[in-house]
Amino acid sequence: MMTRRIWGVVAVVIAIAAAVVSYFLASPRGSEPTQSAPLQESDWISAAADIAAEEFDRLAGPWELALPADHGVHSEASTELWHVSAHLADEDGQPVGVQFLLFRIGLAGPEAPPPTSAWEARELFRGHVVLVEAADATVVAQEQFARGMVGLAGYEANLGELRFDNWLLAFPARADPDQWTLSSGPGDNRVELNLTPEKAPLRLDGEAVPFRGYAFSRLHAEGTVETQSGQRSVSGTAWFEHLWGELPIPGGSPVASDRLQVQLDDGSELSVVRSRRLDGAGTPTVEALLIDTEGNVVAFDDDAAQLELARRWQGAEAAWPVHWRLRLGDLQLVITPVMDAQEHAFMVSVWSGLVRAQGQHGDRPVSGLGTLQLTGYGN
Amino acid sequence: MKRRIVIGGAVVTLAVAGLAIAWLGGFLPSSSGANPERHRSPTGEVPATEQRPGDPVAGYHALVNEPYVSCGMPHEAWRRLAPETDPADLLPGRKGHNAELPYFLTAHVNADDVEIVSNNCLVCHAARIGDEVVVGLGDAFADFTVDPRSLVNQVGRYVRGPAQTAAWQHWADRIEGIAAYIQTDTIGMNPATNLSWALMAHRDPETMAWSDTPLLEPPPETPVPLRTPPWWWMGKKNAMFYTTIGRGDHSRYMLFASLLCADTVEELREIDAYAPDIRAYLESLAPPVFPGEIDTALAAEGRPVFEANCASCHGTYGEAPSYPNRVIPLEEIGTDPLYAATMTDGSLDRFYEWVERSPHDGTVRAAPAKGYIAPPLDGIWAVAPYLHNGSVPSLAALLDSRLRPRYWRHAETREHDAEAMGWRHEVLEGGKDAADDPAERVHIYDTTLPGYDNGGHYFGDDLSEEERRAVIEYLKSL
Repeated sequence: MMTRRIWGVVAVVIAIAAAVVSYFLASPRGSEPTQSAPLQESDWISAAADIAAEEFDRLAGPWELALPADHGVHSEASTELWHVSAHLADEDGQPVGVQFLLFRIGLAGPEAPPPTSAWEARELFRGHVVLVEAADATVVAQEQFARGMVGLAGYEANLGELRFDNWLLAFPARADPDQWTLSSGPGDNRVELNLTPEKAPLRLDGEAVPFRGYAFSRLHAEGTVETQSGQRSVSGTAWFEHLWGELPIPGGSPVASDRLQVQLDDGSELSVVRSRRLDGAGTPTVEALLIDTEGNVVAFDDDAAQLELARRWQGAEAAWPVHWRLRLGDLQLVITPVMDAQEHAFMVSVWSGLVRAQGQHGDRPVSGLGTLQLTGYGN
Repeated sequence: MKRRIVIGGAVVTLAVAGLAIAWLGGFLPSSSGANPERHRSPTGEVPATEQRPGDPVAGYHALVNEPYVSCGMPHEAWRRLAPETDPADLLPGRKGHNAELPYFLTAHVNADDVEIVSNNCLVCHAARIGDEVVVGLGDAFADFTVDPRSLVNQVGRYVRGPAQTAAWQHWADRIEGIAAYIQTDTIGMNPATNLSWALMAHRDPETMAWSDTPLLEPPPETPVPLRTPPWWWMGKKNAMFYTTIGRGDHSRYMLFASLLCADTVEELREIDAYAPDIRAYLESLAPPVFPGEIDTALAAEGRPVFEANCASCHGTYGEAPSYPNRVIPLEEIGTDPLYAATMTDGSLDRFYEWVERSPHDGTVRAAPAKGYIAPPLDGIWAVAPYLHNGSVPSLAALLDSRLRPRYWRHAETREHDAEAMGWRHEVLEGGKDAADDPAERVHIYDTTLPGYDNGGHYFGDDLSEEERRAVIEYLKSL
């Protein structure tokens, strides 16, 4: 139905708008409620984005998703991100999670004259990779920064490769458009995944937000993980999102958001964004959407979505709400972390980890794995 | 279609700020005392009250440029979320950035040098028919079904710096105070009356100081479903709003539009200085002219039928027009009683008393009657859906109750059908309960729900088919 589709798309946009916030950095604020305005401590990413924003216009005009071309860099956009979250199991059936994020900031707008030297930076990149293995309760993560440079960081269109040092997300269009690969860290660890889309992409409409993009909410994922303790096979599902435009970078913004992505074993996926005021005032808001096995999207607003933060875990940086209870229409889920300690001292501290989902969808029991990202709680 | 919905979303975003403007359903005082009857009016004729004079030209300028809703979202954040402005949404006579904003938004620079964008009166009181913005037409598609706090947080993600943050917080705090009371079940229904009660619950009536904690028991959370009536009827009506609660100085009633943001009596006084001009402009508004062909011979046949059957309540038109200003008692009109009943059952008297204590000092009075005013019918072709709750989608159905659909929704195309005198609509098999998708549910007009009943006003049923056709043709000419 028309309405359903449109609202679904709108909701996806909204959800992902918030998601961007949570992927990245929410402002470095304490979680203590205050009556005054939050401090405006900017980070260098948002400072750079502010500078860059002067040179870029809001994306305008009609846009249709064109793949594989849209997998690449959109240099007309001031900011851009690619994000993979994979929910896997090892040979013993133990959960394994992989997160890969790459964020690009354009430093020169499309009108800028050509660079006079290969050393002239036109783009900055920030990326991180997180590997979680429930079997031995290990979490390894790495954050990197780089400027855009051929062969070092950027997208090589003829190869269909998004490269960041020795991290690689490849969409080798000429070979097989439905066979992507992720080859990544963290550190000396290696994650090698083949990714195959299982659902059509959801196109994100850019009219209500100043960015565009798309999401593949379910890819089949299969490959290997190699750490000091050896190499093992993993398989499961992954979720990919790619957005570009004026993305909300919340360094200094008075709102922070949490993002939950769940892939359920009944073939559906769930995206939940919970947003709250950093001054402690106001009522947190929840935007959620459910993508069914056919790729239909149903959005739930605050009235239809009930979310309870059931437990906090005290980490080094903050008390993170890692355990959620969720009700969306006739779907009830309990979200628990595979382990509590999934806090990361990235440029801005985050809790970003692998979670289990367990509950009921109507009469049917459902379960799955997901990625939960919490920001704005630490200092 | 997508664009329209997106625009609708933006309207909603902003709408909240401007809602106050819509007709603040009631306040105002009279002498104090324990007798609740002082907050009631009899049904029957509404007496005239002298209005302060104003300049309609200056009033239009103020309406589309002045910051009478003084809190809102920082322009920097707004421009990132707003879709491109449709050129058809621009209005003439706007100054500065307002000239580039859609008709329902006004920009101003606050004391901290932050440019603020907020809704103005037109968010509810103007609407597009085709490519034309009709100022004064209640928006049949205004969407108040979403929680405005989501929009507050979406805007907040693009807010930067201490001054913008402070401005955003001011707006966000106000929205937080009212959000629970202004969500409707159905697109097109307007929560302004409940909004005004919620604002009063949060403000000291004497100082206008805002309290995050309610100072009075707040109103019920669910607004009674109401359709926004057109402004061009105001010139004929002696009291404002369906129950004629708004008695006294109409321009002071309109001031309650500023209750969302005005935190001092001084700010209200500044707005009061130009409020009579705005009132004069509203009263000068002419209804839009019927855009199609009128069969003048048939209309001429309809006129005597109208004058014999309708004019005693709705007045006469043409040369030497008359308008009786009559409130019809609930038991006589028979339309959905919920609104008039809740306004007069004592459950809202604390807000009428709030008005008594406000600085308006007896110039206005909140005194609803237990009935609904029979409105003037100028421009009636344009104001569908009909009745105070918008429960009847076309004039043909209003005049023949057998044609009134139990369940219906506006067509996706938002096309006004001048011949049928209504927006194109689909008749549905089931009501809101039959729809699985919450996004679909808000489009469904379900006349079996409280407040949404489509009964009453059966006078047209007594006419013959020919007489009805003739009356409808005549109504096109009003």
